Amino acid sequence: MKKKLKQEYEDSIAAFLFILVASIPMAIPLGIPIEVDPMTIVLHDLIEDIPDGGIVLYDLTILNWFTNFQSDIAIFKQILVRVRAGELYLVIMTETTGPIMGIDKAWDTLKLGELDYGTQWVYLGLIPGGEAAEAAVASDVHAAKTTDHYGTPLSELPLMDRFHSLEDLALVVTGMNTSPDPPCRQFGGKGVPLILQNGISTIPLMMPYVEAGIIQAYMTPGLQTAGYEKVQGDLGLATSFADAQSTTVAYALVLMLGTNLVYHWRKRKT
Amino acid sequence: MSILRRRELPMSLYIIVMVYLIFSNYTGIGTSLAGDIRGWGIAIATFAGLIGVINISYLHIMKLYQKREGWPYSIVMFTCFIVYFFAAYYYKPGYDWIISNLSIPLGAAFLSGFNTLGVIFRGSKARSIWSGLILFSVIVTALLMVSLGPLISPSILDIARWIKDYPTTGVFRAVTIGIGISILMLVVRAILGMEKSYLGEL
Repeated sequence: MKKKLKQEYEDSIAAFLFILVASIPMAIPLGIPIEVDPMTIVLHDLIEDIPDGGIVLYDLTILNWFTNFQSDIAIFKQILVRVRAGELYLVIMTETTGPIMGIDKAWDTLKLGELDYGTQWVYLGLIPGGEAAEAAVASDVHAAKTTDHYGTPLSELPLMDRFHSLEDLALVVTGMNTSPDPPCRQFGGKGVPLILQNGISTIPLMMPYVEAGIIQAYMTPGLQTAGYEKVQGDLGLATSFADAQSTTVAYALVLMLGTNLVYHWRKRKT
Repeated sequence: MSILRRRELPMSLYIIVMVYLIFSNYTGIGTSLAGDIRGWGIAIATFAGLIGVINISYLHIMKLYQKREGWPYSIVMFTCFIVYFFAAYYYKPGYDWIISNLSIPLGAAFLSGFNTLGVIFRGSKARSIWSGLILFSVIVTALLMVSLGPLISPSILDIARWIKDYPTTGVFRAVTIGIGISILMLVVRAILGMEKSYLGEL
């Protein structure tokens, strides 16, 4: 009688093959052409069309370099081109603890240190409370937080003189990986364009808001971000992952078909 | 019974604050006080972190004290917590090292696909025509998400886009409307004093 392979061995083999398949593009770059999603063009043009002097609020809620943060970095890059040109101003905040870890590393990547802090950009740091924090910032940011992340009173930062509530903003970007409802409720549909950076699986959740004009544009990690990097002409993490994603998805599909074939074959035998 | 222990006091506070915030939001009257109330919400949320630390510490101390299954992991948890906490406040190079060499690579490994690999491997069996349809949707939608998709067949992508734009969005629209109605019902129940979950009652 044939011995059946133990479940943990099967899992280990599947995981080992996964690593192997993900590593293929490192040895042999596939160079599969990347298509640009129409929504990417909408997002790109939205940022380009913000009137000069506008303040952008970037609300970060998740930080993982290999998933959503690749999209955040790409959006930041486009905004920062205009900030460096003196056309836009940037205020960054977070209402969850995740981004606190390693956010300084993101500042290094984006070279925010080269900008004039307090005049061109401000980092408010953590404003806890999730949606309550978003509501507080939208109504009165100075009441929600009196100092920035580094302890400087907001009254001493010239940029914050121009930012009191949602009405003072030209654009809100929220980077997240969950339900889009809270930022849509607090920032959306109030005359200020809203961009959501969210997980791929949340596209169906965002679509009703897009159709209602509450979300003006969205960005998702992976292929859409790779297309966005192509539009910007500044290739980053998403582009470098594109080939690996293709090979791993192909592997997942083979795995799915294989497990189904084995399942039905065994079922027929019994 | 002491007035402080009776439930009428917290219920009154809850209802008055809620009605005031709704009134202020829709009329624009008393927005300054409404802003202060939201500020209190932020202050209270700050303490959630402290409660989290107390709870997780209590849980792991009890696990160590009673030598429950997996107790050595509690030692690992406390060691990581203490080292990370002190590095963050007193030793910046150590903190940077933890972020660059532990946190980011571990996060990448966890989210790179290993967490979904098990689901694909163990849970994606078409046991009926309906689960077969779901599996088909998963396959075509996955192809939409990667650059490999258009190479296999552009028509597969059209099917994937149709699934995304119509059935899936339609379902989620219903879910969103359902959530909205539920929130509204919760507010009405709370105003009428029927919602008591915030008091620890069902």
